[in-house]
Amino acid sequence: MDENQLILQILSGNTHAFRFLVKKYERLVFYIAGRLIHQQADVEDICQDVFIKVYKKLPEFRKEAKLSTWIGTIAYRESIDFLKKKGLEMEDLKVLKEQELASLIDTNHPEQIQTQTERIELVKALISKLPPLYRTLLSLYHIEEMTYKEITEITQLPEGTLKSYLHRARQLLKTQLLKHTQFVEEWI
Amino acid sequence: MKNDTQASKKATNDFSEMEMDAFIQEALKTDSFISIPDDFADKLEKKANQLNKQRYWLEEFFKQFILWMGTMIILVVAIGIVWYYKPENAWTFISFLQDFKWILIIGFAFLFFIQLADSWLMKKLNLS
Repeated sequence: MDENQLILQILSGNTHAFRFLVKKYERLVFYIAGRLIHQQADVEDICQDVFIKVYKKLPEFRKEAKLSTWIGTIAYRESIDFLKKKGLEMEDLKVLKEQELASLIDTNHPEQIQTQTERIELVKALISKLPPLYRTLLSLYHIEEMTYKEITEITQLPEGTLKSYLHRARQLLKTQLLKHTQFVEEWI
Repeated sequence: MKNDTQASKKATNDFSEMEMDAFIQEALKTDSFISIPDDFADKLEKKANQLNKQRYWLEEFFKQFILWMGTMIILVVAIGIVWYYKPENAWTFISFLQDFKWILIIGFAFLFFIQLADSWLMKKLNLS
């Protein structure tokens, strides 16, 4: 179903069309909220609130942005508001300096990395140590395949800052991955 | 298996951007700590239905309220005109209203809710 048709159907009160929209964008919303908030129950509540807000505010959607970007923006803001209300984990959202970030994901005793699967597992572990904002940016860029412009609309970060964060996160992951691979080479 | 090929001694000392992209993408995709409940969309469909009902009742109540407010205003204006010009038998009419005010109020409220129920029934039968 075409996006415009979908919106029209929802606006006319068709809840099946809304279900279709939820199915289409649930991954995006869960990935944004899930990277910023740790508790699964909280993530679910936030995601529900996001879609309810989408449903209520859909008549105000002006199609200036893509629907996915608009929904992503709501998800991001709801998650940040939740964190602010809780007064928790705001430290995590702070932009970290290069060294702080490196120390956060640094592993002193690298394990033996031999297979592609192990490498992916390592990257997964390293990503989980990154601050939530970096994880969110990586998700939007790599999983949702959003453009820089779309991500800046969602996060309200300047494009230069966004590029720098993404570059920094990727470089750190690469460094750690190399460290492990080199260790194996030396060890062998 | 392709995915399980050994990194081995031949492994390069660097990863290309494409390789890094693939690692990050795969790692994020298979991230297990984010799970979407199977019935998530169903739950939201139910909530949307509830919201539609609430919205419908609010709109309908507001519509009827405006309608009856209009009627009341006309009535009040009519009484005002009667009171101002004091035609013959005017006091009989006003005292009638005063004597039966509660019956009239209950009567009007009854009619209001009948009207509301009627519009609900019309919607149910898709006649509106």
